[in-house]
Amino acid sequence: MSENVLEIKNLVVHYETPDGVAEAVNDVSFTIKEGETLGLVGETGAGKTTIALTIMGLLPKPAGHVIQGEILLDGENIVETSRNRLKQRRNDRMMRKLRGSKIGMIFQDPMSALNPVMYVGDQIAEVIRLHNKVSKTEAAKRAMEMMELVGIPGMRYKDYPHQFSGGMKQRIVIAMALACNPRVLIADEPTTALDVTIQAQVLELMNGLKSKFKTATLMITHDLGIVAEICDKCAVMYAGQLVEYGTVEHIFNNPQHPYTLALFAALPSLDKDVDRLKSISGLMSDPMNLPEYCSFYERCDARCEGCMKLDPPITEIEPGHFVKCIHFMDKKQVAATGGGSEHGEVTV
Amino acid sequence: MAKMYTPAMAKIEKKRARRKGKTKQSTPWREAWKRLKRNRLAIAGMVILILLILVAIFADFIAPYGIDDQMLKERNLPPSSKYIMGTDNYGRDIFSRVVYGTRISLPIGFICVIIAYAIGGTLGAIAAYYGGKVDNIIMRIMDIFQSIPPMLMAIAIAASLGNGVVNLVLAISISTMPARSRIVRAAILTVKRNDYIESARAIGASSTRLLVKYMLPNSIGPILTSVTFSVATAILTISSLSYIGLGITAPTPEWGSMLSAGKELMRQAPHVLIFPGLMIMITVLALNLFGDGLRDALDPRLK
Repeated sequence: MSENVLEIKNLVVHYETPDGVAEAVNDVSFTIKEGETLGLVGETGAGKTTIALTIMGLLPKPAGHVIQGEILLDGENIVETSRNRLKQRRNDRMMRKLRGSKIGMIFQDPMSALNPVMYVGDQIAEVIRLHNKVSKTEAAKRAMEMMELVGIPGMRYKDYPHQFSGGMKQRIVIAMALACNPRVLIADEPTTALDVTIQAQVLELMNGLKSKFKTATLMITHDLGIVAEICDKCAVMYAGQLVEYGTVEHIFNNPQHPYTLALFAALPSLDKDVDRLKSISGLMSDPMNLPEYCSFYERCDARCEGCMKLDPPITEIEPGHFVKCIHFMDKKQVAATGGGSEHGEVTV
Repeated sequence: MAKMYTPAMAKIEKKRARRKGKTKQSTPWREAWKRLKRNRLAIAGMVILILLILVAIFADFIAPYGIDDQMLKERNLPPSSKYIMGTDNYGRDIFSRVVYGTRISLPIGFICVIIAYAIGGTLGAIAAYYGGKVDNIIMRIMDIFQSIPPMLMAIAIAASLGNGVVNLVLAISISTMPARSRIVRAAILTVKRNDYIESARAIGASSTRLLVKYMLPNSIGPILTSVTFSVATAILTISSLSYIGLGITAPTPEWGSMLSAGKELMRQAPHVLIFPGLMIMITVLALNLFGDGLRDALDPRLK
């Protein structure tokens, strides 16, 4: 296998607000290789978008801070944890060069992601001109090629975004993100705002382009169906932490964490006719006030007394498959971290 | 069943065929122009404005007399066929003076607004873009300026600098600048929250580019609208200052100073006062009508 293109190590991101500190991302690590797609799933507020913004270097200022951790792009660290102004500014300048050229991003709502007063073609050409020393005509030519590549006739170069449908706008956004052939593509719920048929088209397009450009993709979504369709790996997030992480086969064929199981249980089934879908009771813990112990405890079906005693570390249960739950920790580990020996057998 | 053709349908077909040859691409500006055209009052305002500008340009050809040609035997004459607006107490033709007056009020009004927006607008844009401390410092300074009523401030500045066109422009620009900076700041703040700003950041656009290429063009609607209203206010302020003798003084044919000169003879020769007053009113009305229409045409919520 090829090298890791994107590697995130022990990332911790906090939002510091006057009301308190929101722990948005807590010790998250994952890697994406060339041409690989990682699906990041989790409910609203789990910290998915915060991870995306951190990679882009676009955390909302002044609240957002990277407390610790590294993000390695082709082996080079691109986050600055120091609060030193000069270092921050140097990092900002470096990130501006990377954004658009090495890291591309697709936003959730294509309706509002394009500048309404610029030709769509010019918006693609702008990315090219920002990162390459090319003439205006050359950039326009390449922008037109990109448009053709995402399935929009080049003759619509001089159209405004309001003349395009949602799906077409999303194609333009994809063309913008890929115009400079980035190493990493971050797609933040790229199909949430589109209807189902267009969703399928856009996913197919992304899949095709991904294999063509060999881009490492981080796909953020709520939709397990999308993960199954186009991702190679999957990470399930809950309250700022990865609770389960592995290949798509691991997660879909052999889910282990109670939260992942509950997510699958909540999906409607094709073969069975049920009146009510299963839901996960309760709400996600407040990121301003996370418990000391497992953050899923309050809603967990498999909770036991030992769960209250520690926050379990993420454990590898089979090669490449990680689960963050006390039930999968070694007995020795539990004893070492002070957890109770009375935790029961896994019942799920 | 065969397709039926009614005369009305034929007419529509014909119209469509005629249009087909020259279908223009729809741009935001063309859309706005379409909406503006439907607003009759706004068009009336625009036509009056264009007429006034034409009068200012061709004043030499329109005015039958010079601005200070004194016909001392024919003082304070009421309107007649020879002097369509009558003459003043020096025997000067009021019509000619009113015509030349457009050359003073319109350009000075526009220049004042341009200067006020160039300085205040830039400051407001910077404050809105950077936010936080920068915003606080700039806007608190503007607050200090704004705590003095603009008219009083203009009077104070004009009185301390003395008469003259340059001083008048300075007085009006400085006194209106804080309000203009607020308008631009508000406009940029609304646009700043949009996703396309974030996505422009995501392609690596620099701050200046974001501000100039993304935020300003998208907030041009409210700014342009307030520019027209501001010109109206500036013209009124010029006239007011000239009326109290702090702006442009006689013999320059400024409408406000003409009013001032005519006020002593109000009972014997009201026309000396009425016509310049009427011109101020028409100009301000035209600008306000046009501004109103422009606001409706550019407001995306009405789309």
